[in-house]
This record gives sequence, structure tokens and C-alpha cells, in this order.
Amino acid sequence: MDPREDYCLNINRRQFLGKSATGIGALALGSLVNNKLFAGSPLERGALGAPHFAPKAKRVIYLFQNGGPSQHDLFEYKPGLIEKFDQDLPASVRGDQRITGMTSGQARLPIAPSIFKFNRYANNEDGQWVSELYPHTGQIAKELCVVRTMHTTAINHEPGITFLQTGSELPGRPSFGSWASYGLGSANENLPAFVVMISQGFGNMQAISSRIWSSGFLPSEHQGVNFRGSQNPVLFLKDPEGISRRDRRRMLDHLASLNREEAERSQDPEVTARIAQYEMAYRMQMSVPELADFTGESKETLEMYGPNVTTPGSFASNCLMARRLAERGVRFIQLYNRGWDQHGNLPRDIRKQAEATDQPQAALVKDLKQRGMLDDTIVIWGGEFGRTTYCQGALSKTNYGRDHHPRCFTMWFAGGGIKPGVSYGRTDDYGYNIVENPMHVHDLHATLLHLMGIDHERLVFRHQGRDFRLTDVHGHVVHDLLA
Amino acid sequence: MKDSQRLLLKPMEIVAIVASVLVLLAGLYPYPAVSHDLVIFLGRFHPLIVHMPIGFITAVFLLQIVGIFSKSYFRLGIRILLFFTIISAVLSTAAGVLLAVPGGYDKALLEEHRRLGVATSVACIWVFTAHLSKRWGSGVIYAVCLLICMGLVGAAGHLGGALTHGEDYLTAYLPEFLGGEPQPELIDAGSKDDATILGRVVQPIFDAKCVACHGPGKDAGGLRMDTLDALLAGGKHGPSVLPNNAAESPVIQRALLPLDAKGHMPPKGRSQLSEAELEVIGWWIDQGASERMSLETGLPSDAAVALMESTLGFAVADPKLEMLAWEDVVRASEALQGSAGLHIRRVALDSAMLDVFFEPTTNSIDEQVAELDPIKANITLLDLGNTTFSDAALEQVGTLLNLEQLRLHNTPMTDEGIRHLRKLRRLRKINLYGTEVTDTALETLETLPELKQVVAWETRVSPDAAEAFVRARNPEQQRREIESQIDELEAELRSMHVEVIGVKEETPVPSEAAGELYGDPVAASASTEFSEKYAVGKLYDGDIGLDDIDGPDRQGGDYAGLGRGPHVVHYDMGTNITFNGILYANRLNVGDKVAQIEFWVADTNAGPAKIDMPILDQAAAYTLHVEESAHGERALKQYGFTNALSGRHIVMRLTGATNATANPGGFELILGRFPKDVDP
Repeated sequence: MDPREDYCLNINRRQFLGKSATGIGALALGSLVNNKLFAGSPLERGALGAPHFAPKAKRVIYLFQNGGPSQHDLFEYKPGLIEKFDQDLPASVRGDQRITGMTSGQARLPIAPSIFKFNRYANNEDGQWVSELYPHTGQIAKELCVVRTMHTTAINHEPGITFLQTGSELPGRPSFGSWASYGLGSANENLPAFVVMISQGFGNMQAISSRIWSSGFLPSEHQGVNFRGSQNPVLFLKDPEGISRRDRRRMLDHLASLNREEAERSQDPEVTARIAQYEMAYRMQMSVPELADFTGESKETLEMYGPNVTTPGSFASNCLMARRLAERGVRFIQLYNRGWDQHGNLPRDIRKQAEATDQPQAALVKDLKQRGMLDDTIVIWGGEFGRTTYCQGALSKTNYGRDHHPRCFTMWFAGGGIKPGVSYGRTDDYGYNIVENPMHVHDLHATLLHLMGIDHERLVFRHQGRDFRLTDVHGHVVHDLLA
Repeated sequence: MKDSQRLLLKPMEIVAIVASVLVLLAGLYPYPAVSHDLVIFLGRFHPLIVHMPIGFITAVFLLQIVGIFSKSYFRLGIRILLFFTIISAVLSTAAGVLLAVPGGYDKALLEEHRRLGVATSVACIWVFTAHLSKRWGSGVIYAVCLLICMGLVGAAGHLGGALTHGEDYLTAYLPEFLGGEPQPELIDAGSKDDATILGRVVQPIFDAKCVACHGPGKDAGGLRMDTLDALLAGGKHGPSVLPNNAAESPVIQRALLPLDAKGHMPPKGRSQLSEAELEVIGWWIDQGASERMSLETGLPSDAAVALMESTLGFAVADPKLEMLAWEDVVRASEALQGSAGLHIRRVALDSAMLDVFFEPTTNSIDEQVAELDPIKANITLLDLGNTTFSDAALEQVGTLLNLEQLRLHNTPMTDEGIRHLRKLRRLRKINLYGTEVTDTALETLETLPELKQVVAWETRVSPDAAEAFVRARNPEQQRREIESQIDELEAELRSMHVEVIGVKEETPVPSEAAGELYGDPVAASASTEFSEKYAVGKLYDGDIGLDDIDGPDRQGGDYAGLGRGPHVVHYDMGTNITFNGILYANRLNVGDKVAQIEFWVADTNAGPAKIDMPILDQAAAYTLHVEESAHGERALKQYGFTNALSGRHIVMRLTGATNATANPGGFELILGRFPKDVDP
């Protein structure tokens, strides 16, 4: 029988429909699993073939601050609020905007000015105001692009973080990192293109789940690989006693041949993805132990990241790991740092949070800079939303809490073609509403993809009968932020 | 009688002796150097006249030779020729002496030429005398004198030539089989590796067209042009080459003068500089007139290169490496073997440029880099970081002429290896961190015209060399640095001044400050946009407590004007006031601090504040130096004047501190009259 006929007959109705549903995705998959354009040729491409235009950034390090850090105590300098201590937030400022159930029952919404002093650090403009909680971060003000007018539509953690990570409040879409991995492919065959690391915070911590680094409807090998916060970042990488690397190889070869048979029979792309993942795991047996070994780092470097750098799973350790991953060509390095959800006892908890993050994040930017990598690495810092200017719970001169605030919050960016040493956007005197230059989550995604050489309107994946994008039908590249 | 007749000198001989002595004395007298126009003018006849006696005496010599064979002695003709020989020889000697007076020639050579020239003149006199003489033996003397004279003419003539054209002028091109030095190899594209722009292009132009008069043989105007140091040192009119400034470099200016203009160089009648040569020299000067700039890098415009090549007769630029079309890249890549660690990517869909990346653990880099040859024109990014390779790989990298970014961090890279990269004229960024390179590497890289970033962290590159590298590549930076040095010196002077008058400690003025404080002006204006806090009615609100300036609405917003300044502020106080000090709080940010406030006072309206208002032409009535310690702190301080000033119109000029970057100004500025005892 003609092999082509054979192949056609092999596709039954169900498989046919399934395959058309994945459409372009399945086509693209061919070039992803076999990342090379020609057998044996080193010329390669991701799903796009190449970026739409020459990229400024080759990789992203996203320092996600889970819980919603209080911009008022870190970056939003509103000295005018000091004399408004304990005054009610004017109704004209609040307007008819919704607030969460946690404070909507409060009798009043008293202004809680930050108790922290702010310092101005020289940047490439009129100086950058950063609170005393972030002295190290203030010192890299010349590298930072501080956006004070981020805004989101979600008001609670789960939809908020899902929105930031996938461009949709509803679960199920691919994560930002998965899109980058899908679009651009990996630059290191021995490590995943999308790596996730989590560090624990202090006080009130919100749950995060692997859903937010899932590849959604994109092929599974683009999901984030979560490194554990221990000496052994990936479990079960070590061969069991008595199994040599050669045995492992032979086992995988046999398994792969069985899987290929199944893939041919069922035409299910997930089977091919599984083959790729086995191979990746095999290669990671060699690459990960080397990656996690900090002994090659100089004393100066370790000191720069602060005392916690040697504690696996700490934010400091993850920051250093992020740099090491970036050096090895990993496209998207997603850190989650938990513990910013300070509804009460904010002054107490934020001190600890800030202390744990300040030095490592500044060190990361400096370290990338001195290695000549900041030019093509975007560092992103920010949470899923901000916190309110008014107090949640009892307000005193020394203690207060803040509720979720999606209408404006602060994020900062460094490197990768972002304008260094500038501020963007302005909020009102209460830090409640945006006055000038708003930047929506979709705009953030569009801008970051742009820096990676991708037109956000052209990175699409057909699923369940329609094309999907990270930015859905929204998003504008904020050209003011581009260097 | 016969004896006495034989012994006694004939009158003609006496004349000859006297003439000889005179010529000797006048010719060898050590004249003091003067440069009177007339001296120079007459002296310059020397080259003209000097050829006449040479011609005449040579003609005499030839006639004598012919005479021996033809038995016809042309006595009268020879006599006439000899007469003119003497006249012209003496004149020529005189002119030569004058020409030597202003100097500018190689001393030893000149002295020798002078002696031989004078000797030649004297010899000519005696040839003539012997020819006239009818004494016995005069024929022999005549013949001997004539031979000596011919020898002297030859020797003096040669030295004269050496003075004008350079010492090795005659023998420079002596063929090798006659014992001459081999000629320096002609330059071709293959032998330029060590060529510098100066050595292979610029200096040869000078050698051909300038050095004859401005070189070791003769340094007209005190100028030599045979070495870079000499060009920079210049002559009595100053340096002839001003690095980075071709337009004002005399070497260019003079060449551009009209041919007939005084001072035009090379002199009219000499071989002129071609347009291409001028452009190349000018470009070389604009690039910093560096000795090291190499031929492969940083060439001038394509048009200039073409001109240069046609004029100089050799290929200057490497042939351009044309990028392949994308289809051709794909085709060429099919043949590549590659390995697991090699990644080749298209930079973007709208371009055929390639980004090549080797994973850190990749083996056999040398072979793989060599394999890239078919697609080398398209490689713009190459990452060899954390790999190990040999010189062979670097040699290949050196042929990736379109390379823009190169990462070589943590590799066995050395200064030697860097030398392979000298042709990468498009290179913008190079990462060398964690390598063994030293300052020498920077010197090599200095010639790459597009280079914008060198990452040299954890290398043996010294901070000084790095700074020098940045400076050398950035004239603007050089300018700024000099300016900041000047500022520093001025600041130093100011601080000395403060010490002299004893202004050392100002104490913050408590809220119940003694003395009388003046309120707001009735009108105010400034040379640039004003912060509203400085405007009328906002300047001083009557409360000068420290709490006030610390208050939330007093922080950070006030400035005297936009930009670094200086800014001029004009206050109309409404009435004549007398003040002997101010209360002033500098801005918090160091970028905004004011270092100096100058005051002018007038009874009549000085007009709206402008940076060039007439009153500023007069000396300031008082100059206040805001001391360094007040920079960057928000405290309101009292500054006393040595003498009180009075007037209705107060004009102030605020000058930012050395490191001020933007909008210098203060939180608050209040004029006041203080009791003298608080006034230091």
C-alpha cells in the first residue's frame, strides 16, 4: 500500500477534528520538537521561524512579588498625605469604584500615610524617590524604569496573578513564559526554556499554583519547569543505584520508539511532547547539578546578593540562580516571591519582605550589568496589584494595613532595551487614581513581547476554533518606555 | 728684474688674493640669526644664481677637454666664461650666506655646504687668475685649480641638493645591484596587518611633499614633519596638527589657502597635496591623529577611500562582505554539520542576519567556527562565552566582518587573541569579562570605529586604561572632563576664599532669628521658567522655621529655573531696602545644588530677568559662595555679606555647583538685615 494512503487512512474522524482544532499549533510543533530546520543542520527556529523584528532582549527575569506589594511604602512618594493622616478618603477621589469586601464594610476609609522616609536617588531624570525600605534598590535607580501607573482589572489574588501571568483573569491560558518559549524556542538544549522558582515570604501568604506557569493550550513542553527550593532543584534527576547513564539512555531510546509508534497511530501531539520532555529530563541530569552548584561564584558576588544567598529557596538564592540560568540561555526565568499581602501589621511585615528582597534584586541587576548581560535581559519587578492609600483595620501612627488596589500600582523594569533611569506615569495626590500615562497589563505584555522581537498581534495559536494571543484583542506597545 | 718680476705679485694676483680673503671672511663669518624680510628675500636668490657658476665652470671644463683634442683652445671664450663664473659665484655665495642666516637647515650639513661653497668661489677666482697669468707654470696651476674647482662644485652641489631635498635624496632609489638598500615593500591588501594610517598613508604623503623642507635636512620655520611628535610639537608658528580638529590644524589650513596666498603650503611650484590626500590627512586628524589607528579600521567615507586608493595606488579597504539572501543562507546551512551545542538563529524574519550561540560545554569550537565560513557574511551576533578555543578560531572570528556583537567572556582570550579582531569594523559590543586581557587589548580595540561597549569586568584592564579608552573615543567626554577639572579648581579657589574671610560655620537660624527680614518682592521674573514657589507671593510666607521647609509642601518642588543654569532672577522689592545677608536653604538633591549667588542692586528697574541683561555686565555687588556643607541638606542657613547692599531692584544670578545636573535652586530665599554680631 502507498505509505501516504496508509497515513491518510490512519486519521479517523475524531483525530482529524482534534488535529484541525490545534491547527497551526500542531504544524508548528513539528519544528519545535525537532528544533532544527534540517536534520543535522544547526540552523534552527521556534514556532515563528525567527522573531518578527530584531529583538532587544533575549531573555526575561520576572521577579513576581506575590500578594501585591504596597507601592505607598516603597515607590509612591506622597508627602502631602502626611498632614492628611486619618482623614477620610474624599468620595470624589474614590468615585463609584468597587473595593473589596474586606474594607467595604469599614465605617470609614482613613488615609494612612507611609511611615517610611523616602530618599531621592540620582537617575537619568530628576531623581528617583525610593523609600528607606529599599536602599539597595535605590542605588540602582540609574538602571530602573519605574512605572507608577500600572493598572489591572482584577481585585483579588487569584484572578490578579492569573491576569498578569496569562493575559486573562480566567484560568487556562498559556503563561507569558510559555508564549516566549513557544515563540522563540530554547537557547539551551540542556535546560528548559521556561523555569519557575518560588521563595517564601513573611506574614500573610497567598497560594500560588502551577496553573499560572502552565502552557495552557500550547504544547506541553512550553510549561514552566518549577525548580524546588532545595539543594536538589529537580527531584528524581539522579539515576537510581546500579543504573548507569548508558542504561538510562538505552531505556529512554526504547521508550521513545514505543512512544513514536503511539504518536504515529494517534497523531496526538502530547505524545511527541512527552518524548521531548523525557529527553529534556535526561539532559538535565547533567546540566542541573552544575547549575545549582554555587561554588564557582566569587566571594564578592555572593556577598553582593546578601547573607541569604546560600540558603536554597530564598529570594537571594533564586536571584543568583536566575542569573545563572540566564547565562545558560534560558529564555524566561519566573521567580515568585510570596508574602506581600499585608492587610494588617504592614509596617512590621513589609520591613521583613523588603529586607529579604532589596539586596538580592539590586545585586541581580548589578551582576547582569557587569557581565554585559543587562543589555539583552529584561528584569521585571512587580505584583498582581497594588495596595490602598487608606487603612484597613485600625490606624495608628505606627501601625496600619492596606487592602488590594488594582487602579494603580508600581512596577519597575531594567535592561533589555527599556529606557534606563526614568519614571513613567503619574498618580493623583492620594496615589489612588492615575492622572497621566496609564499602563494596562495588556500594554505590559505587548511591550515586553515587542522587546523580545515579537509583534503581540502576530504571535497567535489556534485553539478551539479561534486564534488566541497573549494580549487577547488588547494591548499597545508603550513606546515611551523603549530605549 | 726677471727674478723680481717672477717673485713679485702682479696686480691681478693681489686683487685675486684680496678677493679670496674677502670671500673667505664674508662667507665663513658666523652671522647671528636674523629674519629680516630683505635678508630672506635676497637669500632666496641663491638657488637661482647658484646654477650659473656651475654651468659656466662646467662649460669651461668641457671646452678645455675639447681643446686638448681639437688643438683649439677657445682662449677668449673661456676667459669670458670664467669672468662670469666669478661674478655669479661670488653673488651666489653672498645670497647663500643670506639664505643660511634665518636658519632652518641641518646645522652640520649647512656648515659643510657653506665651506665648500666658499671654497668653490675662491677656487673659481684662482682658475680665472691662472688663466690670465702668463707666468711659467701657470698652465699647470690653471689645470690643477680647474680640477679642484670641478670637484668642489660637485661636492658643494650635492650638499646643496641634500639640504633642499633631504640627505638620501640621490641614493634613496639606488638600485640594489649597485649597493642600494632594498625599497620598502609596496603595500597590498595582504600585507597591511600591522599598517597604521599614519605609517602607511599619512606619513608617506608628508614624506613625499613636505619633509624635503620640513625634515631632517631642513626644518623651515622650525618645523619638522617626519615624525608625529614633531608634527604635534610644530614650529615657530605653533603645532601643525591639532588632534581631533582638522579644520584648525595649520597643516590643512595652509594647504587649503589659495595657491598664491602667503603661507600656502607646499610652496607654489612644488608638488601640491591632492584632494584625496587632504581628505585622508584631515580625516586622520579628526580621528585623533593617533599613531596606532590601523589601516583596516575606521576608514573615511567610501568616496574618500576610492580617492585614496586611486591616488595612493593600493587597495585600502578590505572588500566588503556582502550578506547572503535568506534562501542562500538556508542552502548553505544544509551542509553544516554542527553539534549539539551550536545554535544558529535568524535574528528576525525581516532580515537575513544570524545570531550564533555556542552552549558553554560545547566541544571542538575551532572546527565548528571554521565550519561557519559559508555563512560568515550573515553572522552579526556571536556568543563564544564560557567555551574553550584556540587562536585558529579567533582568526576565523576575525573574518566575520559584519559582526556587531561578540561575547568572549570566561574564555582563554588574551591580548594576542584580540589582535585577530582588528578588522571587525562593525563591532559595537564586545564582552571580555573573566578573561586575561590587559590594557593592551583596549589599545587594540581603540581603532574599531563602531565599538560602543567593552565589558571588562574581572579582567586585568586597569581603571586608568578604561578611562583613557573612553576619553580617547569621545571628544565630548574629554571636553567635559576638562571642564569639570576647571570647575574643581574653581571650587577649590572658592573654598580657599571662604577660609580667608573666615566664613566657616553658619548655624541654622532658629525660628526667632534676630534681625529684620524682608517679605515678598512686588514683582519677580526669571531667565527661565520659574518654580511657582519662587514667584511673587510664594517666596517668603513669613514663617522661616525649619519645620516649614521640612513640611510636605516644601519638599523637592522648588527650583529657580529649568536646566543647569546659571539662572538670573530679578526682584522688585517695591521700595528701597538695605540688606546684609540672606536666609537660604539649598535643594535636597545634590544635582540641584547652588554653589554661588551673585547680587546686583539698582535703584532703577533693571528690566525683566534675562541671562544677558545689561546690569550683569557690571561687577557683582556681592558674590555669595554657598559652602559645600550646605549642599544636599535642606537646612535654612544664614549667609552674611561683608557690606550691606541697598536698592529697590535686586538681580541675582544663581550658578549650580560643579556636579549640579538640573534645575539648581533653593527651597527658600529670604533677604534680610542682620545684627552685625551674627554676621561673621
